[in-house]
Amino acid sequence: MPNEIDQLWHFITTAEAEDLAAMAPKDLDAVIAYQRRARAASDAGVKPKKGAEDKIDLTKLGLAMREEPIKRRKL
Amino acid sequence: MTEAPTSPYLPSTNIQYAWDSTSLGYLKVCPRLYQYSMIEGWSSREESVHLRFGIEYHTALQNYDLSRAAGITHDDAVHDTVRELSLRAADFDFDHKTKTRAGLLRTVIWYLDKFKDDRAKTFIKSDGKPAVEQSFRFELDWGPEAKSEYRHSDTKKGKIVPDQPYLLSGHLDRIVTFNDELFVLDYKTVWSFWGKKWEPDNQMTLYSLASKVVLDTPVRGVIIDMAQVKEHETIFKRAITYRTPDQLAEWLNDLHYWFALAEQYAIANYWPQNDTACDKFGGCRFRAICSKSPAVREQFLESNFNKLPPEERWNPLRAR
Repeated sequence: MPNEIDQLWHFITTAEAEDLAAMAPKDLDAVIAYQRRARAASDAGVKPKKGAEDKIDLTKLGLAMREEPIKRRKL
Repeated sequence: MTEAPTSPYLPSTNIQYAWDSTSLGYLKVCPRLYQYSMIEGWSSREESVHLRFGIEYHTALQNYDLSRAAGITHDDAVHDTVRELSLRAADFDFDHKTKTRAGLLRTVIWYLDKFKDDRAKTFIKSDGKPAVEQSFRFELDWGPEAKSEYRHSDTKKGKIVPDQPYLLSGHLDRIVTFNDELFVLDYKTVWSFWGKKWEPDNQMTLYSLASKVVLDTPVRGVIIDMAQVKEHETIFKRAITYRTPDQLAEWLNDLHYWFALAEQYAIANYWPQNDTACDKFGGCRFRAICSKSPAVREQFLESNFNKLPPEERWNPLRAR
């Protein structure tokens, strides 16, 4: 069952330009944060499996505390 | 509208006078590869994937570097870069195992995240501009000698000299300060890290040479940030390569011989195969063609490759 981040990632990697232009900034930030977690997991030696990129549990890896929050400008 | 670039060949000849690391690399690896790619403009679908991926990857990192140099915070610069990239790459729909739209977005985000606090900082030039995507083009003090109409008599030197000197051109991704010294930083996607050595290396030596010309100041060498794009992850490695003035002089001296050879091939209208290079770099894209009988090669080229029109072929004089 795909979760929200799966759907966002699917959207940003498949949508047409006009739909992407309307993507909410917070959704884009969520995608970036998701990829940061994926990189942290990869650095920790977790081998990604096909279709399992969304199932990375950083807490189990003891990496959750290392993740920095995204600090974005106020518009 | 983009102006069509000038031809890198002397008029009505295949004698190339403007060279970059790509065209020179083809010549050095295999004259037949040079013929198919540069002279005849055969292009494969696979090549298009790598080219487009590389362009988008470089553009994204360049946008980020420019934002950071303008004082924009890391998170905002990443956000803006990824947003622009997602829009530009909306038509990136190659059927490739690793170089996909998802792979491109992931690779950019991972690279920017990994090197967020990089010790290599963008060099700010004397005009206050960041040294990002620096195009270079400079003349050498010799040129093609084969065609008499391109030569004139130099009374001072008392000899016949070419009118058109050779040109070296290219693009430096970024110039950085690292450990208080200047380096060129080159972004590269690689097929594999296995056996990667950068000394000697045609492209890195040219970049070392060019950076001295662009900056008019000593540059220590080249930092190569390699990205190996896999199906579900991207691995990065950084390499540093150094060049001494003696090594640069030797490379330039060797260039006389390479260019003379290129001229000979062009005059003979024949570029021989280097059949010891076919399996290098993951295998030459023309290997299947060269393995066919010469009589049927043209047919196989036509069915497996696209012949680009001259204005779309690789051209060292094309501006970015």
